[in-house]
Amino acid sequence: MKIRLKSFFHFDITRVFDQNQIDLAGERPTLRALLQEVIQKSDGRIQVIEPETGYIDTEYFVLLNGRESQALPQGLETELHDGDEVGIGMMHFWGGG
Amino acid sequence: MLTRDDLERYDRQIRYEGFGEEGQQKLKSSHVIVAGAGGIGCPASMYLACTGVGRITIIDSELVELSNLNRQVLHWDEDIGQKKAVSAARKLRSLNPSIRVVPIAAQITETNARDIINGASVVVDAMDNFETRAILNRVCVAEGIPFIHGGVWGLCGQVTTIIPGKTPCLACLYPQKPEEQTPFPVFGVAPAMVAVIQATEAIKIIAGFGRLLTGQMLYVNLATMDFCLREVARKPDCEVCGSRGNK
Repeated sequence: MKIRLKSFFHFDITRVFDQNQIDLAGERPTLRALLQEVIQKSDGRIQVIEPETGYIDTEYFVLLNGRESQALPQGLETELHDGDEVGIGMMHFWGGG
Repeated sequence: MLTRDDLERYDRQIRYEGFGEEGQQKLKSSHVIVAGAGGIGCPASMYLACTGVGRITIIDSELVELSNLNRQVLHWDEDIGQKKAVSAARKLRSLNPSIRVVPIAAQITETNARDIINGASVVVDAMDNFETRAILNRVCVAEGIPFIHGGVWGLCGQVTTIIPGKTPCLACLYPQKPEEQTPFPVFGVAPAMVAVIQATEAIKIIAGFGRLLTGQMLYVNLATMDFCLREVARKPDCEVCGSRGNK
């Protein structure tokens, strides 16, 4: 199952993912499974889920097809479908250049 | 009143449906504050100037350094050591002699912020630090002045338009001072892109057309060419614009 990934980080995400999509194994992968894959592939650099609570870390936002993950009825347990788009970004405060 | 020169200079945009001479006149009568003459402030003020904003105040307390020149396009080699606000104003006047450009080479503080932005149509956030942004946000909310936030990092950027009383303010989005790193990496194209979007928002607010980035944060990643809009909401207990704020 191919999930398109949009990313907004203060470092070069192309060094972690060379393509804008992740191929997920399993029949009914969830949003949590995808985020775990992101954490693993980034060697923990993108720690989008708080290990202690299992929730989205407050430094990040996660959108599934443009919808905030917290607003999804099933939250991180929402099942993904082929072609879904997941956006992950940091709530970092950025400078004026 | 638009002059014959105005009608010729701005002919291409006056032809834009829904803008016209009326929109141009609104721009001519407007006053935009550009807070910062750096990577965002330079291109934002350039587009505001050439579009015909009648009065631009550009504020920056710093001096031009060599390491600014990869992105702060109003400052050139010959300006190194000069005040950024003055360097920027000189180029902007040359870009469009028919407008008024006022440089303020001072730090924005709690004490002077209200006087500086008093009567402005819009304030463009081109600052490089959280404290000054927080001051501007508070004063804009108190005075009911639209505040267009923009920020960059590397090849990423973010923009949102704050309309006091209607949209979340900066303190709704960042209730606590976030971690900041200076200097941070940045390519000139990232602040340029963010600045052009901010300038567009300012033009639309003043002239009264189009749809604004209100209640939404636009995120851009030029490394991956990812763009997304994220809904952002007001905090009812926000210390600036909510129940705990000083309105």
